[in-house]
Amino acid sequence: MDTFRIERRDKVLFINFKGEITLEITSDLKKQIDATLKEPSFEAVVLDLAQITFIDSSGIGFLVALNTRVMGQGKRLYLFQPSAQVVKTLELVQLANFFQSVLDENELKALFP
Amino acid sequence: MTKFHLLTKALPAASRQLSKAAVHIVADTILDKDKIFNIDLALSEACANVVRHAYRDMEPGDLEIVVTLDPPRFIEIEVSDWGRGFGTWPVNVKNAAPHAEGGRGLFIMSELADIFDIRKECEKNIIYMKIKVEEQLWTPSE
Repeated sequence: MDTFRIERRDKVLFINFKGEITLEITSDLKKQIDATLKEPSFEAVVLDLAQITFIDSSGIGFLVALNTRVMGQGKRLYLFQPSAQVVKTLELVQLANFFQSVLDENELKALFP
Repeated sequence: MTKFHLLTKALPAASRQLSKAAVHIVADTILDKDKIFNIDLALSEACANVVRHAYRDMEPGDLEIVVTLDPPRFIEIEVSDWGRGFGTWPVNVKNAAPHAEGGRGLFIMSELADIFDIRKECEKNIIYMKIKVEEQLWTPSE
């Protein structure tokens, strides 16, 4: 994992990831994002995964945990433009349809006009 | 046949570096990006498994990768530790439930390898994977 950046657009929390999501960084990532999720004023979380070059089962576990946390707050979580590597790993563990994915900007604008 | 031994301590950052080093060796030898991705993922899972479980409640011990290149037929990978080992045999490699946060690593490895085995040799715990690589996917020099 190289970087991640959190950006608030109205009531949507955009989290942009770059690089790898593996065991090496998931604990720190979870702590930092958990702090942001305590803010009550957002309605949805969008994870931009277009620039993820590698994700393993630790990274998938992180996405599942984040999804559970967000859904538990009565909010929604979307994967935005998951990279081919993310899609491949999700398919491998049979979670390709577990998450709601947004494939392009038009779809995103329709969801969050 | 060429064999490579790589060794480090079972810590998160070091284990990922070690698996990447092994992937570099493989990537110098075979051409297919999908196959390299699969090996990268299988190695990352095996090393992460050691970091998470092998030395739990202990000082982190050794993590070893042995890569055997056997052109034009297959690649063998052994990932070993000297920690607590698996508690129950046979080891369950089923996929986890969708909402589970963990428990997918062994399933991923078993799906990506043509032959997948978990072995114990004295104090050494070994994850063994044999991956077929078609003849045309090897670099010409191999």
